[in-house]
Amino acid sequence: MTRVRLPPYPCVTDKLRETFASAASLSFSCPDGPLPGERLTGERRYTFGNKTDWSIEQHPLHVACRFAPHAMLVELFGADGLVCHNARLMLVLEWVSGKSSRRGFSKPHVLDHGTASVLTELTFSLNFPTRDLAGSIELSLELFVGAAGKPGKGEHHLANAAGLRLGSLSDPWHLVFNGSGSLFPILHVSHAATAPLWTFQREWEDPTFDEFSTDYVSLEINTSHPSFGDLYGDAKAPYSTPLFRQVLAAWIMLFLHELENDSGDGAMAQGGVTPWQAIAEGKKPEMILPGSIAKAAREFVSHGSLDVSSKSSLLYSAQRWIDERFATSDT
Amino acid sequence: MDYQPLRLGRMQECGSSLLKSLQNDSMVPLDLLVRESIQNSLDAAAGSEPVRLEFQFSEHETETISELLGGEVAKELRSRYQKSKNWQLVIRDWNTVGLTGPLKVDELAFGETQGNFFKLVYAVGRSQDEAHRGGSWGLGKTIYFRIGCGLVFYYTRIKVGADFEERLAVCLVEDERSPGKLQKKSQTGIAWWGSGEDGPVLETAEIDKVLQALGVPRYINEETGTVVVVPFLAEKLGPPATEPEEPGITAAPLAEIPWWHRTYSDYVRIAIQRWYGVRLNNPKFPGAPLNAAVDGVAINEQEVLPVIKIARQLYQSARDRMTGPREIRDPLGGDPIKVEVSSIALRAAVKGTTSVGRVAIAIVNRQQLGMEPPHNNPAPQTILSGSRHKGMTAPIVGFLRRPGMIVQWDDRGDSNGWARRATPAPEGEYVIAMVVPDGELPLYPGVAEDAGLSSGASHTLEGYLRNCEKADHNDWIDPLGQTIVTRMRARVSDSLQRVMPQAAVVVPSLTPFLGARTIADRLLPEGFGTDGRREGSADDGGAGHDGSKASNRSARPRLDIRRLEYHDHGFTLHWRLTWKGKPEASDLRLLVDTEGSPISKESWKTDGLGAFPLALRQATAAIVAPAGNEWSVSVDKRADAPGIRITPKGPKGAAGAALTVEGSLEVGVTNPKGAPVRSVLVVDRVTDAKS
Repeated sequence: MTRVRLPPYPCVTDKLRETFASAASLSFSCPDGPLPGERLTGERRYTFGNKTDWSIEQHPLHVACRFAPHAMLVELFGADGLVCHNARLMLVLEWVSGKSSRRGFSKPHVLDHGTASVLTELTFSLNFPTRDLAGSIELSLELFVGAAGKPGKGEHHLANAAGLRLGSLSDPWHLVFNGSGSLFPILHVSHAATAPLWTFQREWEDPTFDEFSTDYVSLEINTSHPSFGDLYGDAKAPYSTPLFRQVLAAWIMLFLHELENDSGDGAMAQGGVTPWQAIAEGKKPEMILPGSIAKAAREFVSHGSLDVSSKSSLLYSAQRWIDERFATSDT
Repeated sequence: MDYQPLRLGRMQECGSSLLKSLQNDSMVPLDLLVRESIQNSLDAAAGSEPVRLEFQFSEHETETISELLGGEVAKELRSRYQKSKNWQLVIRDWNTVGLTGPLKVDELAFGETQGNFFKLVYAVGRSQDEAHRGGSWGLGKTIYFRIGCGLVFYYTRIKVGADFEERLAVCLVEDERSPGKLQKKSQTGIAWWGSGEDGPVLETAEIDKVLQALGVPRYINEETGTVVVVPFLAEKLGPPATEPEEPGITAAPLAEIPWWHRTYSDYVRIAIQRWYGVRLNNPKFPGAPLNAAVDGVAINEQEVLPVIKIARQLYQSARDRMTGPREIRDPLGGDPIKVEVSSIALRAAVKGTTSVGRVAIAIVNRQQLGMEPPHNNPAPQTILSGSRHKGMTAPIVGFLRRPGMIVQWDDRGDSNGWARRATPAPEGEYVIAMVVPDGELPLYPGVAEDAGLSSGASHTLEGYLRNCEKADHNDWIDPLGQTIVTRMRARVSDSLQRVMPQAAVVVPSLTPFLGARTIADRLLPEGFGTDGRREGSADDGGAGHDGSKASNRSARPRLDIRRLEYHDHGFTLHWRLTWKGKPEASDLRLLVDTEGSPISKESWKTDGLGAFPLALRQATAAIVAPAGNEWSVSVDKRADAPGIRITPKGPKGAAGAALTVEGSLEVGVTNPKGAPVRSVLVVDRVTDAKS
C-alpha cells in the first residue's frame, strides 16, 4: 500500500519553492571565537571545522539567513495564493534535530499584503550556545498563517487560522556537526610553569568499547611550561615541530604499554583472545568496536608497522613512523 | 503430620551445602531475611493492588512445636530448647496469589512452570527464569533455615477456579554433619512434614490444628496469600555490637548505637525502608506498591525516614527519563532539594541507544535529613549501608532493577565503588544517588551470547543485570569478557564528579582542535572519528532511505500527485500512476488523516463518527504512455471507498510495460466542526486489497 497525505488547503508547491530557491542563503559565525570553518559538501549541505579551532563542543554558532524574495511574496495573497487577501503571512527559520527530537524557531517576520509588495529582503538569525547541538540539524524557511483574514470571493478554501502551516519556502539545509573526521585526543591545560610539559592521562575502563577521545585518554599539554612554544610551533600548522614528534612517539609507547598491561590478567578476554592480542596481532577484530581506544591502537600498530616486541623497539619504530608521516604531510 | 525425610541419593543436595549456598556472610541476617521474604511476596503479587506484608515476632512454647512434629525431632527439640525462652517469626502476606502450582514431584510436567509452592517448599535451590522477578538463584529462601534451628512452616491459601484451597507443609534443613542436629539418623539433614509420603497437608482440620498451635489466623473470605513461620529464632540475627576494624587503619569515630539495633522488630522496620524504600507506600511505583507492618504496627509515611523519602524521589526522577537539573520536595517541608539527573551513556551495550539508564544525584544537608533536633536521625550512611562511622562520607549510591529492591547502597568511594574518585561532600552535607537502568532495552547484538545468558533468559539489560547478581542479589559483577556494569559505574562516577562541589581548583582543559585534527590526519585513517569537518555517515540525516525507491521495485504502481486544485468545498486531485512491472488493476482510495492512523469510510461509520467528510464527485483516467492503442484503461467509481478502480487492459501475453496512466479525482469535503480535514490517498493493487 502506498499512501500520500494531501494538504487540506493550498500549501507551498514544488513550483513555488523553486521560485524561491535562490532567494535564501546562509552564513555562519562564532561570536568572540574562531571562524566555524563551514564547507559546502553537497547541495545545501554544510560541514564545519575546516582549518579552524572551532568545534560545536567548545564554541557557540550563529546562523544568519538572508532571504530576498523581492516582491514575489505578494503572489501568496488572494484566491490564487495561499492566504486571504487581508490575512497575514508569517515567515520563520526553523531548525530540527531528528536525533535529539528537538526543534526551534528564529524570531518570525509577519507580513501583510502591503508590506509584502514592497519587501526586498528579510534576515533571520539563530544562536546556538556551546554544546547545544550535536550530530546534525536541518534548517528551513517555513511559512505560516500569521493572522486570519476575512475571506473574500473564492478565498474560502484557503488556510485561515493563525499558526496553520503552509509549508517550506526552501528545501532544507543540512548542517552536519558529527562527521567522519578524526581528532587526536590532545588537551591544553594551564598548570604551573614548573609542572611537566606533557603527561599521559588514561580514564578508560574497557578499551574495546570506550572511545578514542579526551573523555577516556589524552595527551595533556601544559601551556604554561616555558617550552610550550617550542612544542606547539606555528599557529597555522600547530604541532608539527620536531619536539612534538618525539613527545608523540613517547606518548604512543606509553599508550600501548598501558593497553598491554590491562590485558595482563585476562579478565576482558573473549574466546581466549585478550584485547592486547586483538590490538597487537589483529586477532578476533570483531571484539573491538569502531572508533574505540583499542581500534586506534590497532590502527597505530598496523599502519605504523610498530614493533611491539619490546619497549625500545616500539619507541624506535614509533619515532620512525611519526617522522615519516609528518615529513609526508609537510611536503 | 507425616515425617518425610530426604534420603541420600546421587548428586543429592544436603543441608550443609544449602545453608552455605547463599554466599553471603557479611550482610546482617535480618537484612537478608527482609530482602528475600519481601521479594518472594512481591514476585507473587496478585495484581496492581498493594502487596501487604507483616512481620510478627512472638514468644512460643517448645512443646507446641514438638507436639506438632513428633518423633525423634520432637525429642531433640525438647532437650535443646525446654529451658529457654523461644521466639518465632511469622511473615504473612496479602494480595498475593499464594503458593500455587503442583504439589508433588510426580505432578510436575516437563516444560511447564513448577509453580510457587513447589519452588518455595520443595525445590530449594532451583533458579528462577522470569527476568522481571527479583530472585534468580532460588537460594534466597535458604535464609529462613539460617535464622532458626532450620525448621520452617509454610501455610498458604490460593484460588483454584472459583474455589479456594489451603496448603501447609513444614521443612527442616540442618547441617547433617553437626553433632547437635535434630535428625540423628538423617544423612542429608533435610526433611519435610506433610500428608502421606511426599505431599503437603490439605485437610482443613489438620491445618487448623497446626495454625492454632502456632497462633496464626487462617485466611478468610476472598483472601489469598502465604504465611512463613520460623520457630526457635537464633540469637545474633541483628548487626554486630561492635564494628569490625581493619588492622592498621584508624577508623573514623563511631556514632552511638542506632535506636533500631535494640530489638529485632525495630531493625526490621528500618531494613524494610532501607531495601524497599522506593516501593514502600509508593503508588507511583510501576508495579504493585508495598505496604508493610511489624508487630501489628504499619510503617506509615510519617515514620519513613527523610533519607528514604529523598531516595524514593530520586528514583522517580531517574525513571521519568528527563535529564538535567530539577527539584524535589524536602520531606521535612524546607526549600526544594536540587537534583541532577544524568544519562548513563555506554556504547554497544544495548540496541538502538547509547543511554542504558539514568542516575539522579542530590546533595542534601543535615536539616533536610532530619539529623538536627527534634528528629536527631543518624547519618544517612548508618541508615542506608549500616556503617556507623560518623562524619564525611563518599557519595552513597543505590542501584536497583525493576522489582524495586536496592541491590546495594554503596558508599565505598574506592576504586571498586560507584563513587570512585568523587570528592566527599563538604562537612554537614551528604550526596545521595540512585541508579535506575532502563531494563527493558534489548542487549546489543552478541552481548547476551558472550555474557552466557541462556536462550530461555531475557536478552534485555534487565536480564543481563540479573545474571550479574550473586545468590544474595547484593552486587552486580560483569561476567568474564563483559564490561557493561564496570562502564556504568565509571559513567556514574563521572556524573558524581561533575555534580560535586570541587574542593580543589579545577584546571580547565581545552582541546586545540586544529592541532588535534592535524595530528589525527597524519596518524589515523580517514573516517576514524566523528569530527564534523568531513562528510558524516548515513545516519547523520543526509543519506536517508528513500521509500519511493522501494516502491518502484514492487509491482505496485507508483503514485505521483501532479496537481491539487482547491475549491470552496473540496479539491480536484490530478494523479499519475506508473507501473514498472506487469500492470495490474489497482484501487485509489481516500481516507481521513488523524493523529493516530488514517481512517477509512468503513471505520468512520463503525466508530459512529457521523457522515464521512470525503465524497467522490467525478473521476477521469487516460493512458499517456505507451503511445498507441494497444493498452486501454477502465475506471470504476467506488462510492463505498470512496475511490476508483483502475483496470489496465493490454494485448494478450503482454509482459511488463512501462504503463503510465493520468487522471483526476474531484473530491467534495465537508469540514466537521469547521476543522480542516486532511485526506490521504492510498493506492493498492486489487490483489493486495483482496488479501
